[in-house]
Amino acid sequence: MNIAISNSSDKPIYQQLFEQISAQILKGELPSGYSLPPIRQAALELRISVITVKKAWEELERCGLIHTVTGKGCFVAEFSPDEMLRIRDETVSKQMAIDAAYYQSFGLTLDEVVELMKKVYPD
Amino acid sequence: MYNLLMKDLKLGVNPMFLVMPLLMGALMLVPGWIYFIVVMYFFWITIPNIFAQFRAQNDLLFTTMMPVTKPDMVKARMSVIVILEILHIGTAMIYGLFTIRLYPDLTYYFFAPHLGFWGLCFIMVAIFNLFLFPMYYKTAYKYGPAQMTAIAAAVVFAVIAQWVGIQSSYVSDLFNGSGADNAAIQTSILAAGIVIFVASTWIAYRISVARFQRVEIQ
Amino acid sequence: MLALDVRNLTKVYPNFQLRDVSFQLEKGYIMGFIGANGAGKTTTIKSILNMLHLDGGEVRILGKNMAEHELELKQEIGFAFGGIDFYTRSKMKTLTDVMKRFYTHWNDDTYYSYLSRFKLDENKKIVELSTGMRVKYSLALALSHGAKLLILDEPTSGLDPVARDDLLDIFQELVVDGEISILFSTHITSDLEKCADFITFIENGRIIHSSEKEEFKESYRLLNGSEDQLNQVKDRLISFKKNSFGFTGLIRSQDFDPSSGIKAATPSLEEIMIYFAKMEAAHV
Repeated sequence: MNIAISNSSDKPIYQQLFEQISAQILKGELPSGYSLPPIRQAALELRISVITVKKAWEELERCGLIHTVTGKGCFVAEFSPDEMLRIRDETVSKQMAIDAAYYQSFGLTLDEVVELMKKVYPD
Repeated sequence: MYNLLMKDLKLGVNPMFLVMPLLMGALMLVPGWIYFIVVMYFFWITIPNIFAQFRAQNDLLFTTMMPVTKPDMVKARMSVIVILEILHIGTAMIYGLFTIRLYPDLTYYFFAPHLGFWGLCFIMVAIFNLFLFPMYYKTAYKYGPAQMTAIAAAVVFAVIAQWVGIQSSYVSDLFNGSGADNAAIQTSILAAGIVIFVASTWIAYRISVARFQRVEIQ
Repeated sequence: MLALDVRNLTKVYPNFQLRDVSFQLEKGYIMGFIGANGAGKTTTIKSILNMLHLDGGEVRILGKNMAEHELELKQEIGFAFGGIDFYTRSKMKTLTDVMKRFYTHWNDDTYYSYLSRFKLDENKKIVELSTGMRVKYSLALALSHGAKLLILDEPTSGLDPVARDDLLDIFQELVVDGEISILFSTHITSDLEKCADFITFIENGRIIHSSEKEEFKESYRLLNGSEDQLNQVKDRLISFKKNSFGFTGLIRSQDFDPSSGIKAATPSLEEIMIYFAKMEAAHV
């Protein structure tokens, strides 16, 4: 599991954690059954507060990406390829909704956004 | 309370002050002197130094942080001072024995160091304690005024006692004359002095505790 | 379980008062207690430790009333006002020997393991220790008597950035088992951005806000806009600064309408403190 926290980012730290871990799960880099480090241990390693890690883990659980076994810890959930796609789309849509609001504030139409996106999207 | 006492003796009281009684007591060997002064050196030198040390080392905050009660804090601090007082009077008494043997033919103008005189010394220290501690524990911090008042009270007592001792032939006879050889009289004056000392230190303790309870630790 | 439960503390001085101060710290977490100098941090801490006579309110530590169980609780609390500043001419060894007798759960092994971990030489005199080492020494003392709650008044002030970072690392290590809780006051808010779980903010003797850190920051918005926009929101701002390009101001999130088009960001702890102080100054 790779995590890089930026303190200068505008994004709250728990959000960064959530995004990075969920991406790794959805890309299959973290296989199902992978055991996440205990919350307090992770907080210590990452030098962030306990609550921050807790929030990120809770968010991952809410999205169905991990599950908690009482007394044992948190594990990456098992899901079928279909489910994985669904969760991936959900997660991406959430971010898109935020970005869409930003594009709208400039008065861009959907086509214009798609055009621009095509230009900047790396192959 | 024992731990607090050890704390004061190990950290707060410079070992020098435990040697002081031996040095100051030696002043008893000055023939025919005003021997009240020997005990007073304790008030003038040891007391201010010890209190200054406690304040400079931030002792009040230090002690408050530990699991101890306020009455125990007062009890320990007073015990330290009382131990030193007894040490001072005790060693002076021993030197006094030598004084009497060394100068057998001396005519004493002031009180001679017989047992009865030490009874008066205990009363003087009793008065000192009665003023010092209750005044000090109003703040547990400012020792100057408490110490000045206590010294003044002790001096007033000593002056009056000595004056009466010279003026009144009865008193003079009691302490320096024929009474000096009467062991019963001498011992009972000493005993009375010690009783007054204990009682007044106890009263001082009670008032000090009551006042210290109201003190806020800043 | 609550490690610390402060309820409605009130303390009246002629020219300052602590009004209705309440906050709670859950066991196993770190709480930063922030506020400008003179806002009431030290008075609050001294009230918690039963050093002052309260005009109202109650302090509960590890479930017990502090006023009633002071001696018992002091066995389980460690505290430090800055670094250790007592009997500075004595050796650490001497001071420790005196202090350990007061604690029933004192553990020499723990003590020596912390000394070596903090690289403290017990034959040194207190006066020879740097500020950071003094704080570490008081932590070693507290931890060796088995303190479950650490109350630290300005432990990081006067430390250089390296020593501060080191100390914050230690704080995090201490809470890792979830047994020890830490309340520490500071006016250096960058200390808290990383390691604190909860923030309690005091200003002029009143608790402005006490909550989980992100929630704390997100309950305010820092606005940036033109002078026209300022007029729209002026009366709802906590305070603001004006310059020739426009204004910057702090507002409670609930008072802010995101559709207003004013540029808004999540403020840092420092910004929150500054704008509240500005508001207080304007009211005086």
